[in-house]
Amino acid sequence: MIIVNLDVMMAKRKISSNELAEKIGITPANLSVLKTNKGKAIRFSTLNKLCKELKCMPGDILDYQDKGDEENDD
Amino acid sequence: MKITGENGIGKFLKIFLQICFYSGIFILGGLPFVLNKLGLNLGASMYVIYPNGIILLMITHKFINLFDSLRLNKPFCERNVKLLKATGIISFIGSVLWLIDFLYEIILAGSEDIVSNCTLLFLSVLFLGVSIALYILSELFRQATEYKKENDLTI
Repeated sequence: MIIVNLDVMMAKRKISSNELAEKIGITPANLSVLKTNKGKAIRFSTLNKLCKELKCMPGDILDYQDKGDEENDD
Repeated sequence: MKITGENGIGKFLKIFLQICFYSGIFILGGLPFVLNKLGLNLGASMYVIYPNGIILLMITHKFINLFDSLRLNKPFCERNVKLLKATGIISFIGSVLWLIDFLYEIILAGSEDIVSNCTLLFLSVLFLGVSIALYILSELFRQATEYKKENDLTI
């Protein structure tokens, strides 16, 4: 399954959820969905903004783990 | 005209159905007393009126809940999928009841009233059609609910 390591990158860049949400133009609630791995998909535009703000690569935010695929594959 | 929302058509439909629902309960409850007072005896027709009346009341009640979700601006939710499926099943039971009434009139009562018999058969087919339509609608709502959920969780 795909793991979103957004909280790790946010901690590295010392940026709060509200501040990041405001900068990339999404609601803090939606950012929380991403951070807690509850999201079903992420738009390229959102990923682009996240990478731009956090000055990182998509691979720094997204990770793949070979477990828990059964409950996430619909 | 606004369909959903606080002042949408769903609200007025809900009120209309609520009036129908409570009137139906009142009529079904008061019918034996009215007939008794008038000295009338409907005989076997009472076995047609009550089961089908209750089926119609149950369908009306389900539709009241369904139109309530239009008022709340949340038509695509799991609750509505279950409501539509349940209404379809109730409608199918209604269809079977009308068919039993039709067969009773033809075989046991030996009725030769063509209009009455055709009406019973028509109602049976109508309820069967409604139950199939509702089952298909519930499946469409289930798919729409899944798409909405996926869309809501796409950031």
